[in-house]
Amino acid sequence: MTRAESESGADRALVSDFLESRDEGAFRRLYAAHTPRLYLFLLRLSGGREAEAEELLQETWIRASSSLPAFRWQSALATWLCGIALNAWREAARARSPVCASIESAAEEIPAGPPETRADGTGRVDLERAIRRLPEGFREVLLLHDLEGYTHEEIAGLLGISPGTSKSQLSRARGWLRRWLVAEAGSAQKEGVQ
Amino acid sequence: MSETDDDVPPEHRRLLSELDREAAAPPALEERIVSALRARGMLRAAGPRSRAPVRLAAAAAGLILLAAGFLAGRSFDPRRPSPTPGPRYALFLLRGQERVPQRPEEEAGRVAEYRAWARGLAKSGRFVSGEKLEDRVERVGSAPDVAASAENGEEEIRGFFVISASDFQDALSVARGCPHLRHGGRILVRPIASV
Repeated sequence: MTRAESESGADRALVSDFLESRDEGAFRRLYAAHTPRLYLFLLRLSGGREAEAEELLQETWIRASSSLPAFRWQSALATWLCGIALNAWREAARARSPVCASIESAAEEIPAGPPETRADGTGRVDLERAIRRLPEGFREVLLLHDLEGYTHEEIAGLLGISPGTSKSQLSRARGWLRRWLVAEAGSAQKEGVQ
Repeated sequence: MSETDDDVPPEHRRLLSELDREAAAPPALEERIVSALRARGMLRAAGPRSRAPVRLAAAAAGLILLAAGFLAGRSFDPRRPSPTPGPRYALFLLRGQERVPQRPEEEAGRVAEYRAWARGLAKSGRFVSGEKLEDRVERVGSAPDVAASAENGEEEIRGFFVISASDFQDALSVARGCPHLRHGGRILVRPIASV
């Protein structure tokens, strides 16, 4: 049995329990199993704005609770929930700033220089900050592909773009992060010399 | 990462792989979301099902108690329904590559998954018992290989379930659905001798 199949078994039990009873306890178990991943995904999407991530998480669970009876398990539950969260995020982003929500228009927003560097020695905190500073369209693709494991075809379907656009946006987002890594390494070398 | 990994430097890949995949949401947010769902009629308040017979409600409460016993280190409620008669199997939950929960919220989420799984087993009459074991290991007797292995964490038993299954294949099938595997743990399945 693959890990995905194992996850599916546990998720099916959680969902079945919830749909059979609509019980608060059953929902809390479902919530506990999937919220940590969803919350971090939304927190990253929203550039680290906690209040926004919380609003979006609430919207995600409201939509998911309403749509769960129609869920046919053609994807993993986590993937389905992630798609709902992404749609909630994109609708909120469009309402906030229609221009910035466009992935094509975001192409010109990538900053020329690296973000703040240095941190805990692993670069983890700084990379987290760097991702949150990426323009929204690039951030979406990078998160979906590199952290959530979506394929370009899946991303294309979710974002309403072509797989080619998804690939090029990912490449540009990675390029920006790579420049940052090089700058970070250079900065560390200078400190070592001094 | 998959299709375009060729242009990803190893350092970039390493940093991405080290990023957290989960974060604890504020506890108050859960209450807010539960309230919002309840206000929309999507959720019933916690409590016995209104249309269920009293006998079933009592059995359900017993199930919750016995499932809650796992990972809490307590014995199960003696009112639990009898499992289906048949061969019994021990499922030893071994430490694997699983990430140990660091925060109470994570631990609660993990417990919820095991509970849901145990409840599913109980509903199908396959659940007999289960306990979480404490970390402490003391060597008794002369079995140095086993003890050394446990001390090294190689075969550390984190907990166990006893289930009822029609045969060994059925028991393996049950084990494959256990959320312990989802979190990187391993499960040892052993038939219980009928002596």
